[in-house]
Amino acid sequence: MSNRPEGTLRSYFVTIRLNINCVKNNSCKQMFRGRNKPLSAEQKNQGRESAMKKYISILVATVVIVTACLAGFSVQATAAPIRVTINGRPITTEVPPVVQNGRTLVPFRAIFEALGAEVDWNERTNTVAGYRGPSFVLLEPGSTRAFITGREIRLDVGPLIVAGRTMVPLRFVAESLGAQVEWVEATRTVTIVDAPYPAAPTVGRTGGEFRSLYSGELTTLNYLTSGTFAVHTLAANIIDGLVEFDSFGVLHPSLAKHWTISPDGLVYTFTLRQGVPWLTWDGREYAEVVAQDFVDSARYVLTRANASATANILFRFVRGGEEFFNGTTTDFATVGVRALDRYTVQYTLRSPASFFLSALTYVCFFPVNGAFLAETGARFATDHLTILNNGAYILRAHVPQNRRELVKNTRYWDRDNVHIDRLFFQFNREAAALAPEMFVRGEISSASIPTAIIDGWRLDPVRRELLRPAPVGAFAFWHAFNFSPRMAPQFEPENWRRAVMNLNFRKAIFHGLDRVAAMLTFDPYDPLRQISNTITPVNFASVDGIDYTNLPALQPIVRMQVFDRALALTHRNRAMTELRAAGVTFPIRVKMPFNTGSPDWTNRAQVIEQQLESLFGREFIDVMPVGYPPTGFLDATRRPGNYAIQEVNWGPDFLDPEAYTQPFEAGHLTYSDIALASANYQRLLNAAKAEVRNIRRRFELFAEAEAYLIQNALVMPYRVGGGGYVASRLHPFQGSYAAAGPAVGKFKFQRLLDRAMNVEQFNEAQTIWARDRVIALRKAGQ
Amino acid sequence: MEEQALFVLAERDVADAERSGYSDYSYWGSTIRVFMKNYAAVFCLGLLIVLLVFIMVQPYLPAQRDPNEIHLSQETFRQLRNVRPGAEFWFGTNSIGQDLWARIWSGTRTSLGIGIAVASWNVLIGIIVGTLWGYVRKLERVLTEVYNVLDNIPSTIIMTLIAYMLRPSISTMVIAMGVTGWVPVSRFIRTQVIIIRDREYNLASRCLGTPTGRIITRNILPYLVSVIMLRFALAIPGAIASEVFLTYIGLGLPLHIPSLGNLINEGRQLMMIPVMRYQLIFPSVVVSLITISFYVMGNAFSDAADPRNHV
Amino acid sequence: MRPRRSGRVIALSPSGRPDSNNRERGIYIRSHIGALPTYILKKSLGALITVFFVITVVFLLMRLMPIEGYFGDDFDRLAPVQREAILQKMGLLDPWYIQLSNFYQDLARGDLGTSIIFRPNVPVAEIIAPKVPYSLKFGLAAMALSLSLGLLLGIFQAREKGKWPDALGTSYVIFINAVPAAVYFLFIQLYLTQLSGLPILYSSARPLSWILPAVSMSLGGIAGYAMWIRRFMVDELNKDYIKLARAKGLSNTRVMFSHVLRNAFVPMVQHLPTTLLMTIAGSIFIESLYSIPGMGGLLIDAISRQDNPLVQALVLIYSTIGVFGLFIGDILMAITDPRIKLEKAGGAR
Repeated sequence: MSNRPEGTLRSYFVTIRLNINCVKNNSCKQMFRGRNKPLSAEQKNQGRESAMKKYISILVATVVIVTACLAGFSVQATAAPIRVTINGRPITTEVPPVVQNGRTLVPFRAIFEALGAEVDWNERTNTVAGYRGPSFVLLEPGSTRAFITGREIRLDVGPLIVAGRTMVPLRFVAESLGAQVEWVEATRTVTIVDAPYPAAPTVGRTGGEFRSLYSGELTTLNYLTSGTFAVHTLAANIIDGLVEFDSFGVLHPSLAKHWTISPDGLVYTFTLRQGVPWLTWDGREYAEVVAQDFVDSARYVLTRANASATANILFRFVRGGEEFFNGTTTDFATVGVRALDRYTVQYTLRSPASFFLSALTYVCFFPVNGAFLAETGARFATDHLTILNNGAYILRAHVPQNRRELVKNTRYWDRDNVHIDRLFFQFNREAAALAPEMFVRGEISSASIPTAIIDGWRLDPVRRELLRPAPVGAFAFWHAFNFSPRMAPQFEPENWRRAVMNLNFRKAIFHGLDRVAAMLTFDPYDPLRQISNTITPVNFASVDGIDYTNLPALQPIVRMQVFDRALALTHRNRAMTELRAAGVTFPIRVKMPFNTGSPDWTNRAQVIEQQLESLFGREFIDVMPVGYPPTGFLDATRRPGNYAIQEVNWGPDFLDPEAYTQPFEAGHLTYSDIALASANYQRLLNAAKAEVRNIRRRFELFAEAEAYLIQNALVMPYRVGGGGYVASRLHPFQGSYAAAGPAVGKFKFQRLLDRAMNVEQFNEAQTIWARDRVIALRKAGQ
Repeated sequence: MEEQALFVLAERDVADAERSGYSDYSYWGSTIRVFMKNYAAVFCLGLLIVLLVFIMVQPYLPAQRDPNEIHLSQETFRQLRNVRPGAEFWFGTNSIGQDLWARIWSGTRTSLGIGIAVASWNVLIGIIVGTLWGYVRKLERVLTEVYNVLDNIPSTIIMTLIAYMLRPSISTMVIAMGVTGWVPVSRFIRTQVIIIRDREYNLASRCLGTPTGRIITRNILPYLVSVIMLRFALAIPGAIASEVFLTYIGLGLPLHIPSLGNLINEGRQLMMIPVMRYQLIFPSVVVSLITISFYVMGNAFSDAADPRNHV
Repeated sequence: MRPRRSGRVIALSPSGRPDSNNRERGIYIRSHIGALPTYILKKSLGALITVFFVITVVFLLMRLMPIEGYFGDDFDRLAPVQREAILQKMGLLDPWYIQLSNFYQDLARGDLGTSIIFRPNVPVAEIIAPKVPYSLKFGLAAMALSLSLGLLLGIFQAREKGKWPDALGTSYVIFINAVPAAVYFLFIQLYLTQLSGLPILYSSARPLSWILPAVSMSLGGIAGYAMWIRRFMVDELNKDYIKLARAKGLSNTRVMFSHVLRNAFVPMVQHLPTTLLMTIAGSIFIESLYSIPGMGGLLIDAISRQDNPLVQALVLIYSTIGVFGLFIGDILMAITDPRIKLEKAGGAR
């Protein structure tokens, strides 16, 4: 507190003068009229009693005058002192709270510490910052500009310096950090009610070793070029990005201590945590993580010769990225990634994207040390020797087709949140057959249980207790209707095309497909868990604490009874009449390709064929499942349009409803061309994409577009990915959560349970998690 | 002495000649007789015949089900998954409620069909190429080189390519196994041909101007009948084993075409689940029985076909 | 899949004899052992040409694979420019003849190439080298077991022909051949570890964990050798020279070892070099089940992921072993059996 720089004095005078002007001019009038100014756009207008207003007005006037007279050296509240309590506990400050312009100001260190926030005073940038959980507040003494978790807002009263202490507006600070503030006139008390940020479950032990088998080997560790999810999750364990997700899917600062977002939403400036080391596989320090590392990484990703599979994610956001990748420009300075100084990195976007922060958890935004990159050249990240670690774990060994070993990074900036000491992954091609048995024998800590043996496990009294569902993922699966069929003549493509253009025909199939029956081939015990009525899954993105799928446009769809025999038959009969008139021949042949490499899918194809044909009768449709091998599967089926109905999927790359719309874009022929059946959808979609300012509106527009898609049976939403069953000593809701990106594979925050959870325990934990998540999202304002 | 006194023309008595030249030895007769003495082999032969007949008529027997039909519970309309063997489903059902009894016999049909088709094709092409290779010296060099190249191309490459170009089906499997499957057979035949091509009777035939084609079909191939039959008998279980292996490495038939290979592969993960192990045991037993039968029979036949054992 | 020849430790003809070509080869190999250097030179040249053809054919076959395969699951997410960049990086945008000539040039320099998908940017040699010792160790151990136990069992069976030990041995042989390996390997791994407490997975630090894989791997070989040697001995014991030896009053054991076994060894010698060298190919079943980081399955992986350079390198290695192994076998056979003479233009190889 005493380390206030000399320069502050002058800026302080400026502040006072500004305040006097303010009093003299209009704002005082407003205040005397009793109008309350909003704290910020983000915060709700809080009503106050007019009595208080009056009092404050007088007080403010007094304070201002006194302040002006004493030139700020000994400001004291003239009225009775104001008390501040947090959750009923009074806080004492060396300098008593003051009131200015109707705002109570308190010494920043006192209030931040009382709220349990970490305090940071940066001389160089002249900022006062408080961090707590996912939120942080940045204030600039002498300025009315402030940032709530990066978003810039204007204060009516900025921080003051009183008696050598920097005083900050109490309500603003407390509310920004998620507390609720109330003024109790009778006792002249500012009451802060600070419900704790929900805690992730803390069960399980600290220390120990996690062991598991894996059957698919990583081809590379190069997180900047690989598009493979498993590479991304490994990278997320050894390398930190600027921000990270907690167990509720709320973003927290990580390598960035804090950031600011320009008012136009285009420029993001991140201040890095200092002293984070890059470590080699054996724990030796190679360098410090600095701003240039993010620039080097972006440059590497955007260099065409490196053929990065995630470059498109980077250039989707960053200005000038695509031009650099295409070679339109060779000057990297035109790309919107810059290191302003050693610890400040700045991203400039091509258009505002509220979800840009979530995208930063994606691997293509991870840093890389430029010198190391140059040193290792083409061999970068081909094994543990050629990759640097700065995250929760250090990759001690990566021997392809053999094993992977990670040890806890003892120099990690957040090591208290890393609980498991060692991670050991053993390669085994037969993991599906061996892992369940090895788990029972206690040799490994986690095993996924294939559908085929779930019945056996459920019937066994010991194994039954070790089995629990795995949380669902964010991949969307749906059955696509093909509007531009290019099939062999025996599948009668033209007949199909005419049929599928008919709304009643599509609705007949839409309501006639028993998705639960199909789902039983994957999850025989809780098939409903993964069934989804929408393309965008539940719990994917939310706005103002409302889940996207719960927005008005999608609500009826989420609640709809999709499989409806009677309705399906009604549509069938209508379609029959209409299509007969249109010259369609019956039965309509429905080519339904499936991947013979997937036993579940093969089974599902048979289930669907029998189910649809027995419902509609073979005189209406002839479902023809056709098996294609895994090699070149999509090239033989979906991409060239060689299908009538096909189960297809898509996964999101960032946390915004737009992430699920790409397959339905006009001209995206490799899925089904929706635009051929209806131009309306594209109009709705364009409108939604154009809305970049008002997030709520944006979400609503996307929801309307999606609702249109489903209501017109242009697609048949089927299920979300993930799921299935596991036997695992990990807690399913303890680690990082995010619907997109590699966060779900992180071991940070996780502990080893002494015993695997069973189904009941899982369900209970899931209920608690869902409840806490709502609180967490609301508290974080995300 | 006059020469006439020394050499008297013998009278040609056909009946006498036949009497002295007559032998009741018949190659095939003896072969069969020796074979029939091997009771194990006869039993295996019987077993195979019964099996073949059974899988042919099985779909037409009463109370048989479609191997791909998914059986639903009458009350819940849900799939009757993993029903244990019993009166309703003799061999139980699999994880989506398909009748394992029907699937196993359908799979046996598929696998035996593949086996017989592949074995016939391989033996046929193998004989043609092998005899040409062994007998026609002009072709020797070229065919040897072709053999060396084909023999060293991993069959996985060819199978993967074929699987990519054609959709997985029984015919794809037959083609995949037949593309290079004849190569070892042709080499075997060639060796056999080489052994006998320079025997005196063949040299004599050549000297007398017998055409090559006639020497091959009349002099050489009949000699090889027993080894060829043996080769054929053993190629069938060999093809079934290949099918199991191909399924293991992911190039086999999809589940909607039941085969012994994919039934076993599906069953493998159930090995440690006692209540469901029947799904592995039934198809394994069928494969084993077929293989054992062919091996025992083949070897017995090879013994029986060896003239040294005819005495 | 491993090259066909190494499917079993020794290639058996259906009759249970090693491929009978071996014995007949002698009939055709006419020249003298004195012509060895010329013979070796000529044969080597021929072998090189064979290998050249093989890798060229394989190179071209791999170029017939679908383009989609080079992208894995990423395909739909990639912008067209990215797809092009990726193909360019893998060198797949050039016409095939350019690719082929680049491949020959690299090969001539002794460069096997760099992996493009299996482990991008890692030299193929570096991928293969660490795997060979594992496969070699287990392969050799299994071979030693198969040979010793197999021959012992076979000899024992032959001596006790028709009695119950013979029947027992035969049922073992039949069992091993009849039950699919995929089933009994897994059975042994899961149940024997449960009964004996041996580790389920291989670990270089625990010698106990080496037992099951080596034993499992040798089971097929034991059956193969036992079947073959039994048959060989039963056949051989009827031959005149044995009858003569017996008549001379040699003991049964003596006859067995100094006559029969010696003769049995000759055809084996021809296959031995290939079989020994081919152990580096590993066993896909055993290595997959026990987590042994060897070569088993590497070729299949490389093919299914369409890692052209890796496939080409592996095919080059295996075909070289195949071709040269048999050629060495020919020479060894000529050395061990004085009746066999090497010929200028020889048999199949």
